[in-house]
Amino acid sequence: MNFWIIQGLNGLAFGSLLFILASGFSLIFGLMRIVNLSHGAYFMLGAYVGLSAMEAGVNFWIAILIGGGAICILGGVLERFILRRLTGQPLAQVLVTLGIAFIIADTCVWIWTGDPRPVPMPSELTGAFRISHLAFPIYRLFVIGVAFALAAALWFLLERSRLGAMIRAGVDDLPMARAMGIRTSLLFSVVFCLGSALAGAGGVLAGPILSVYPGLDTDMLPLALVVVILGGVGSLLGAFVGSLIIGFIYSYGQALFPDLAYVILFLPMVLVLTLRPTGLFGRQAI
Amino acid sequence: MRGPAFNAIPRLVVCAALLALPWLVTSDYYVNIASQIVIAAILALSLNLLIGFGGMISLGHAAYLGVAAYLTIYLTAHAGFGHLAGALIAIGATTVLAMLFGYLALRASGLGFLMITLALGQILWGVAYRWASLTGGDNGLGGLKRPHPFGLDLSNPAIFYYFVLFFLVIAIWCIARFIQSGLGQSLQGTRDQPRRMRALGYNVWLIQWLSFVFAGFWGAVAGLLYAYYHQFVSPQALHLTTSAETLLMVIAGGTGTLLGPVVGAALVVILKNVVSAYITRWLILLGVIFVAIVLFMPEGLVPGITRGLRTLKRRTRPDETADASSIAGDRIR
Amino acid sequence: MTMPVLEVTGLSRYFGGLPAVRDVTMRVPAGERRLLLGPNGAGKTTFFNLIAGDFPPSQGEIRIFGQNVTRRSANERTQLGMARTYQIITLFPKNTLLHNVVISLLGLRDLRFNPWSDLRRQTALWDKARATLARVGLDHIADRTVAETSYGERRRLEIAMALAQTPKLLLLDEPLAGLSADERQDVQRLLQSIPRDVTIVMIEHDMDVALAFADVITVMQHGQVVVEGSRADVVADPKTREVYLGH
Repeated sequence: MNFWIIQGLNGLAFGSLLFILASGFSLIFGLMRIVNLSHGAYFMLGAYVGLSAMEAGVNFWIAILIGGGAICILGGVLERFILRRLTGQPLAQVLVTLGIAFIIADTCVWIWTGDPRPVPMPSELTGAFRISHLAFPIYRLFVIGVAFALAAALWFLLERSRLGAMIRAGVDDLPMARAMGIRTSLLFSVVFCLGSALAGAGGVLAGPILSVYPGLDTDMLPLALVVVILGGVGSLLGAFVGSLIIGFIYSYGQALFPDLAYVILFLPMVLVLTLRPTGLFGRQAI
Repeated sequence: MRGPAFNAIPRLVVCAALLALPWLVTSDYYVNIASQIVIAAILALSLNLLIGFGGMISLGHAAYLGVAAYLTIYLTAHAGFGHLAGALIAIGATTVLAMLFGYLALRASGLGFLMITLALGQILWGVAYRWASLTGGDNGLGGLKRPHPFGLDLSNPAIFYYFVLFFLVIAIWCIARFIQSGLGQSLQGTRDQPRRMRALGYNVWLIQWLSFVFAGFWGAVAGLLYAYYHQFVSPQALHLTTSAETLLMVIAGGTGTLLGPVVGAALVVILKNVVSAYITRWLILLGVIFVAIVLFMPEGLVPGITRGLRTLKRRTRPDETADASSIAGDRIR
Repeated sequence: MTMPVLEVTGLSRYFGGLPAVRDVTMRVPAGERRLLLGPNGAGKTTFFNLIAGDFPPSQGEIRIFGQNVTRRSANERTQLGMARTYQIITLFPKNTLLHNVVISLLGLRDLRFNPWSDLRRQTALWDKARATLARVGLDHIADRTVAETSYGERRRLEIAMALAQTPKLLLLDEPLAGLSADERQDVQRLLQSIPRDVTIVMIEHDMDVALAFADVITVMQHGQVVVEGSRADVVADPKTREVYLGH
């Protein structure tokens, strides 16, 4: 019984990290129709930057801001000067983000070497939370809290703010949104920066749990894709639910069938694609 | 869709050079590189079937190379099957995998298709990496001895080169026939106007799926030869970077011709081998080339450079009043 | 044989909350020339696309040649003997006119699944394509690519592509749109030369040609059928004037 609860919480924690990554990816794909294959690299680079900041003496919380901020700027620059030149060529945009992903990933190996680097946990959050004979790391509970808070914040942003209304309009019907006077290029920049920042900050947050290593990018990117395929295009709820489902499957899978953990990841994808190709909450076809 | 980009005489010269290669190039090292190019060319040709002729961009094509390689080595070196049986089962099973993956990927189109192929490919990588008891994990799977078909000693680099070259020729022949066949022309039609093709009575999904399986089959053949060449396979063969390198071969050579991918394969393999002698950061170069091609030469390196040379030629002969390549006959001055 | 070639019952199609086609019932017997009229936004093209199979209806039933095709895809309907033209040109621009017609012919042949035999060697197919082009008066430019042709020639190619499949039900979406007076006469003559065993349903705005051509006219507005009958009936009906003039 304990096992199931602990693994469930682990799943929730991993799913939370995945949501922080996938929410940005989903926003960018939903609005701009860009499959940002650099997203995993952003996550990894954010973690490395945060790590270096901490090694330079900065505390954990500032490191999150630095990691998120650095990737926010990087994403903004890349969107403005490279992706925007390829507007209307979705395939070209995908290939460019793939190329950028390779550049970032290999640069990380160059700068931070190929050894996996553990990321220190903030001292306030070390230790475990105990209920009867169950103990669960406080940090992981914190991460779960962050994901729920992020989900609420994003929901609020999308449903209740003017920016959110513009984003939703753009997701529903971009030409119409433009025709109604919404400055889509500015909107694109804002959303891309936001998504990138989430990826970067997410990487730092994930550091104490996953650590940072070459290959983190290609470990996480396909999971973000599976979340979007599972949850549906343009749906925040889909990204949230999808992330949690994948988190649970991965966690239980790891514990029960460690060799087959990755095979099990196939299953929700196969099921969704066969039975409901638009994803659980998607409104358009993927 | 036009035929191959070269005309008769250069084609004969190239064929002669390819056949005589082991004598022209005395070092085993270069003959082995040529074998690598040939194997990569088969994979790139199969991918271009999807990309250039089908309009379906796959970022998971390495799956068929990797799975066929793993199966070949596992069956032949670890499960006691003979070479021929192992080869046939490996290619057959990989083709069945292509049927499944094709079905899943074609539940979407365009970007969705791309995402699904990427995810499926990486999940396979994860399986190879994690299921260490079956695949050897990060250490990979080895121990394969090259076969002796009809008494040929494939451990001799020159003989192995001719062996794989034979398969390349067969592959080119089959793919060339496919492109000009009813199914191939239907595929190209669905690439250009899927809605119109449906209205004309074509089952677009079926045409795409059949082509996907055909491409997967030839990817499996490349995987078989890959296993024989390296006598070893690691999860890297299934990784996104391998799919991306194959994609680079296709777009570098140009997607519009039959033989473009062969040129692209040569370029990428040579570049990779040359570069790794001098710098260890191959992926950065791969990324930069990707970005450069997409931004500046989207039609591919070969067509792009040809176009550039033609412009250059025009500019250095100011007395010519027309583009020489667009004149059908001779001009009398 | 009184089975209608096309029978539509209670057909509706909503896009979100917007009803593009509302409860349309229509029967077109064999050999009839049916004209769909109506102002822009009346739902004619959506109705057309529903019959052709581009998307499923929200409600209702479609029968072609007596078979219920409501849930069947566009290509399955074409295999039954239906063909359509498009308002927007969706041809293959880099291919020759001849090639375009061959693709049309290939759609109904098993050869389209053959991965080995060279299509260029199928001389019967190419001869038939050339003959079809001759029928629409385009065989003199059969070897030109579509990109090199005029708008009027492309319109005629559209019709050639549809005729090549010897359909029993032909859906024409504004075949005369954008044509010059001469070109319009050519196409008109072409349409009139189509034998009576082919049923034609046509959307057209060119009143003179359309009214001369049609046996039965259906006038639509706001997705519904407002007037239906012979030319005389429709011209006399006050509702027709309302549709076009608002009073």
